[in-house]
Amino acid sequence: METRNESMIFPTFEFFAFFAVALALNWFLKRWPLAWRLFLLIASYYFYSVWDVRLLLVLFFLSLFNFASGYAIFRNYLQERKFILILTVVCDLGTLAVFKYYDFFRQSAESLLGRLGFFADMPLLEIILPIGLSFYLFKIISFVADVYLGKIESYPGFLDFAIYVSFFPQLLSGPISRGREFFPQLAAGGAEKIDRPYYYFTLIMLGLFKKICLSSYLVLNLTDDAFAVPGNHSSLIILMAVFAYSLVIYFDLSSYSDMAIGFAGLMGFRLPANFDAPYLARNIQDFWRRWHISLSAWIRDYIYIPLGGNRKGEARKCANLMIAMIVMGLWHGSAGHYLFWGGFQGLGLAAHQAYRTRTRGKMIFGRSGGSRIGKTAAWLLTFLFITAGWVFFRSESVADAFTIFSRVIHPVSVSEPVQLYLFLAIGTGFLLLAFEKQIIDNLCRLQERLPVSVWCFLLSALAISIFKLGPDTLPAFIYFSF
Amino acid sequence: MAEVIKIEISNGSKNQGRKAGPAAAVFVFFLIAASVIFYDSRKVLLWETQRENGKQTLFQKGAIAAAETSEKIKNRAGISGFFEKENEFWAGLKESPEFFSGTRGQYSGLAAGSDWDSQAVPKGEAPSDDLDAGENAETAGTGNSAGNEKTVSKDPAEPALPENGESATDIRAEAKTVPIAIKEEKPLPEALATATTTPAPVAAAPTSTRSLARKEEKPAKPPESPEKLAPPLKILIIGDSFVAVGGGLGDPLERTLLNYRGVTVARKGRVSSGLARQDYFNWHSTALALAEQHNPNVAILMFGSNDTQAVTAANGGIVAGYGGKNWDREYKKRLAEMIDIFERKKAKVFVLGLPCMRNANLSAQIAHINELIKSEALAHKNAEFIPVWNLVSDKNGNYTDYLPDAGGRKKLARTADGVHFQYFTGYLVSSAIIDELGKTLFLKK
Repeated sequence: METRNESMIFPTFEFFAFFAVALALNWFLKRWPLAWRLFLLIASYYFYSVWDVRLLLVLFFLSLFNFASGYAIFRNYLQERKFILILTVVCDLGTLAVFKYYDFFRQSAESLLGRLGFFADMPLLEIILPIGLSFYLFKIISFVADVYLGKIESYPGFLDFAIYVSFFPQLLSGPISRGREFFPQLAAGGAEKIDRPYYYFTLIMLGLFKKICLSSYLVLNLTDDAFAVPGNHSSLIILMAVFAYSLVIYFDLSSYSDMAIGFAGLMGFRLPANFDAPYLARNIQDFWRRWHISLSAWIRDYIYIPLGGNRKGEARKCANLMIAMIVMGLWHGSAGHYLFWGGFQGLGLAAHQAYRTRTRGKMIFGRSGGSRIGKTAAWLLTFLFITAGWVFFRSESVADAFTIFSRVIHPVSVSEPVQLYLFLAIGTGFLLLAFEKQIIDNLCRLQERLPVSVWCFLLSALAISIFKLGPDTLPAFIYFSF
Repeated sequence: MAEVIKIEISNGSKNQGRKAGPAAAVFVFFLIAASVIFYDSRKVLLWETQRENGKQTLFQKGAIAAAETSEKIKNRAGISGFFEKENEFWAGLKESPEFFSGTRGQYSGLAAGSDWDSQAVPKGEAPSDDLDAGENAETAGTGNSAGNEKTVSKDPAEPALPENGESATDIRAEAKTVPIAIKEEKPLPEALATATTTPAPVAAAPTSTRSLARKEEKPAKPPESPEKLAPPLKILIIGDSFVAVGGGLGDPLERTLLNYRGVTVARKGRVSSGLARQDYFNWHSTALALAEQHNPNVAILMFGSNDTQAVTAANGGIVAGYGGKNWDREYKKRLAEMIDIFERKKAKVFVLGLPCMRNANLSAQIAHINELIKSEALAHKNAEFIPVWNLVSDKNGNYTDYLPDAGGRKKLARTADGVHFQYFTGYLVSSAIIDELGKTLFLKK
């Protein structure tokens, strides 16, 4: 599914203008709770409508439908709570399937029927995937499930629910927040003050830097070309592209999450963290606790645990892990390479569980303990496994992924120069991966020591430099296509 | 400022740090946004004015208004020169072939004469100086052997080629002489137009180390024919992955062009892009920015291989579903707009056709797109169409994985995907394209 790089995404001037006004109105209207809530909803709906007004209708009707269903579950109407839950989830996932997977099913069905000698010409709907659908639908489903499980004590009003679903800092690409975290903040009228201003501004600047100066350049100058036609590049370039893509996907997603958390924080809302230095993980399970935390937590709570989790023996546990990760792969898209990637991750998790059981917890792939060499080996193996997985994720097909691997394994000597900036970008990227938390903490402490005027000047200079260094055309966020 | 912005120090934990009154945060954010828009007003205008057929949202208009006001302030204060130089500095830094790749889609800074692989066409075999394409194109890297493996295209998108004794690349039996048209420029936003009246030379750093070597030579002689565009030739090549990817077409074409005197080349390609899906990558706005930045007098466009799908607007809305006359009309309109961008710059535009593909369905779709591209290009006074199909197909005009080299040996011509070119093919096609360019441009080594 193609991505969009126009319209009001975070690193555009249009969004800066919008947010400046939204931020001012947000704080001004807080003294009137109803007006403030209406403003939040209107602002979020306006933000989404800039993409396409029709997509707004999808958002609204899904909100209305799930609000009504959730209420029916909450009130135990018809004594059929489970049935209503299942019906609601099926309708929600059906919506997702139509928008996201219809073309895949159509092509697969036509291909299969063609092989059997039947020629079908199923309608080509050419549906454009509503941006953010995967994210806000998961928020909605988590809410309805939480209502069923009794985790929502007080049912919100429709206005609050609609704001929860459509809150613009997190609408397009997460984090996927839970209702039970968001509604209390709304009920309390948001924060009275901004509790960590330096932190939020730092996140916004860091997000801009990661997206504009690092991720975009690596995409435009290395990974897109290398993954498109690997056969025409040297093994060194392919190897660099493979590692660079690990950086690209992390910076792309985490930059959006950083900015989302930063913008929401400036408005007085706390969003959940979405990343926790994932590439420092020393085993695959630890990685998935640190990567896209809101999505993996959702998969854990609403797929893995309902399937039985780890309560039904080792074999079932491994099977549940595989299913959960295949769902994770499917969430990203219907293409075979996403499924393959999900299965690959599931295999890794299952293998880790089996290893853990055999070593009874005393293993080099533990989060703590072990020798320095052991820890380093564990980290390296985990990082290489994850990076290999990203090759499947990024490639156009599984066959292309293996072409890339063969290019790495069987070195081809082609005289192909590499610009200095690529080394700098990759090097900076890895340093940022390793020390991101410390960098953020140190930047916050540094800002606290500065006079306010100097702080404002430096922030402005930094923002200007980031835009100046960026390419003329900004590649879209990878996760807008999921 | 410290009196206006009150930042209270909390007695909370280390994690909390200072709290801030909302007014402080709002002020700081406004300051950052205003600083960026003021300082980089040119980029704001370029980014925000060229979206989606002129429809602008409220905040887009606000950003544009702020940027235009900034430009006026800079002009009145007499500091616009400083910002022009500053823009050139950043553009030069990003164009630096050693540091960035700039607008060239792939790796730059390659030393003159170095080969990508052992199969690359050595520099000495580049197109000859003789600009009589009828005589020389036949041997100038078309891959035809001394024994006559001429390709005759049966592709309906292109005219039938002469079979014997004539150049396989001399395809324009019906070509017309194209005088360089002079058209009125479409007015830019006022502030940007004002900003561009002061001459803003292209980035100080050369776009290629190879062109730098050429710059020190004596200027070429005046053109032999008054119709031919004389050097300096500032060539901009834009397109999809054929242009972007090293080893496709863009890179060999660029490097071959740089063998000629007075030629500088800027190249920008984008993998998986095209004219149809503006929501994926907006070539309209990108081309405008590139035309502004590089001010080319020659533009080479190559689009279409990713366009066998619906034509969409920048917000993803479908303008025309794929297939049918409506799609044809919209697609031609997109191409027309692209050509117009460069015609307004008084540039000569060459639109390259697409090659055949291994997948028969795709190939048929591509052939149709070739028809549209050709008809649209020929409808513009300052544009020409250069077909590529027959250069990489077999003698029946069908797809082939192998093509003969100058010595008659069959070499692998396409990559595993059955779409892109091997380097050998890229050079082969580049030579033929340059032969065609040579009919309109004064190209001399």
